[in-house]
Amino acid sequence: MALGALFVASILSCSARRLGSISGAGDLGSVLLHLGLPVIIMGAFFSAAAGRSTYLEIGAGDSADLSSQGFPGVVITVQDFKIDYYDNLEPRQYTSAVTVQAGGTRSTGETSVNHPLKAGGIKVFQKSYGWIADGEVDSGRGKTKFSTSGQDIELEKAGPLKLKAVFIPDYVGVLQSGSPLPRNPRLACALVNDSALLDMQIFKVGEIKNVGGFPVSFTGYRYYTGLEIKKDPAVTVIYTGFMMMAAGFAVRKLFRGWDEKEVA
Amino acid sequence: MESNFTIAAYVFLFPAVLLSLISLLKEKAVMHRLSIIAQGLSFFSLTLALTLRGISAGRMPFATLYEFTLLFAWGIMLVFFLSRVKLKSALLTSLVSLLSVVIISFSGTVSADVKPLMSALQSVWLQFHVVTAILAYGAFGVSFCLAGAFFIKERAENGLGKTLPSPEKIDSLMHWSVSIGFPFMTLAIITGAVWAEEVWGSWWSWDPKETWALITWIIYAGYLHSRKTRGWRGRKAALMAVAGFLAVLFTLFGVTFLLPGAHSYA
Repeated sequence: MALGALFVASILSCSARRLGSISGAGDLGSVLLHLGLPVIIMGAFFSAAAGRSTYLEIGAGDSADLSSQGFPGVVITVQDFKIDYYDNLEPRQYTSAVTVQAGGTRSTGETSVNHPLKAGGIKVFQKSYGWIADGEVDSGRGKTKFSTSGQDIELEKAGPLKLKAVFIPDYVGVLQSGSPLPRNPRLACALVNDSALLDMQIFKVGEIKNVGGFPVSFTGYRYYTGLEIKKDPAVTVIYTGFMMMAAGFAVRKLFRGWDEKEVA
Repeated sequence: MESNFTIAAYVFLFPAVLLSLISLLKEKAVMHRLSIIAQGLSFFSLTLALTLRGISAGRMPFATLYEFTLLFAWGIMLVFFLSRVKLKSALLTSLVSLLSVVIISFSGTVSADVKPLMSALQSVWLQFHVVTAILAYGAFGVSFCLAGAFFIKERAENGLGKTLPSPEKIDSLMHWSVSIGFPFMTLAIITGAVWAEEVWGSWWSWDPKETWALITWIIYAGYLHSRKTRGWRGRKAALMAVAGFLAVLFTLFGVTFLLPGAHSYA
């Protein structure tokens, strides 16, 4: 930070000296392009101080209150999530239909990669996606519902025992998906003691099986969408710096050329 | 069809190197003229190859390392032909052809599969970002060759360097080349930052590619400023041009293979 401040001070003093000896529009372009840099750096400091962002993985149909993540009064609800695939099943685009409640207003729109949603003073970026498997496990103290996108499921009163669940959208006989499409959905559920595998079962939707003595059911699956929520007033400052630099180069080029005079 | 033109572009570069070297030894202008024609044919073939690839992919050929490598060679040749307005040297032709041969050879080691655009690349900023980067890298490639020419002229005034102009003129042309590349490098970084803000919500993430692009930019900014304020010309300037181009190569290839990050597709 100190280094950045020193750099900004140095460019500002240098630019001030240049301003005093301007002899044409080309020189003005040079000053403009140099001043763009401190504007960008100050914008970056401003962004670090005033900008906020958080990443959210949320299932289609779910809501999340972002008050505890630096966005007081902001509630995000994912109405729908869809993926458009190429013929080779690589994702072409993925899109979330989102409702943003912020400051008493409610806005609905879509966010997809490269097309963030602007609503309620925040920006919602589409960053990733994946699957959530929903199920239920009877740990001996009653049934507990779980929704997992790959995390461990703690079993109460069971010490180091954990359930590991992995959703396989297109099960082809191995623990890998044949395609990203839910053509043959299965849940692979393993009981582990630290790193030791004790038991594993493969579930169809609606099945109930014992995994190492714990009854587990696989009730369904759905997409989750990975959203980046951001509010950063400094971006305008940074873009101003970018424009100053680009304009500075353009003015220099128009009035000075590429310093051609130096080439004999 | 496209690969035939890529091979043709590659093959034409060999006579360009050989004929320009022969013209250095035998001092025959016709040989140098033929070497320029061979390089022109290579440039034309590469342009056709890239155009056909774009047509077959249904998009600009800006998405994969293979495409960017070919564009890199194309950019160097483009700036070289522009520089011929100011300097016609058989040695420079030879050096630029040799550099293009190395770069196109490298393209043979990476996958040439035509891939559809991943969602992050589906942006108008892709075109601005890649075009500005190619012009910058092309100009830096030529400045690197000029730095090589400068060192040769310095050591072999009457040998290989005899078709070259004075070291001062080479130095001046090297500065012209960096002066062209630097604004485009700046624009490449700016367009990349604006695009990153649109796609990831973060205009700067210190991703290895971003960081090395910034290091490259700082080296060339150092080149321009040390010339202006400290009067660094000749050998020192040529060394900085070499260092800058090594940073370009590392940004483009080294980072891709050694420091994967958000730009791993490129």
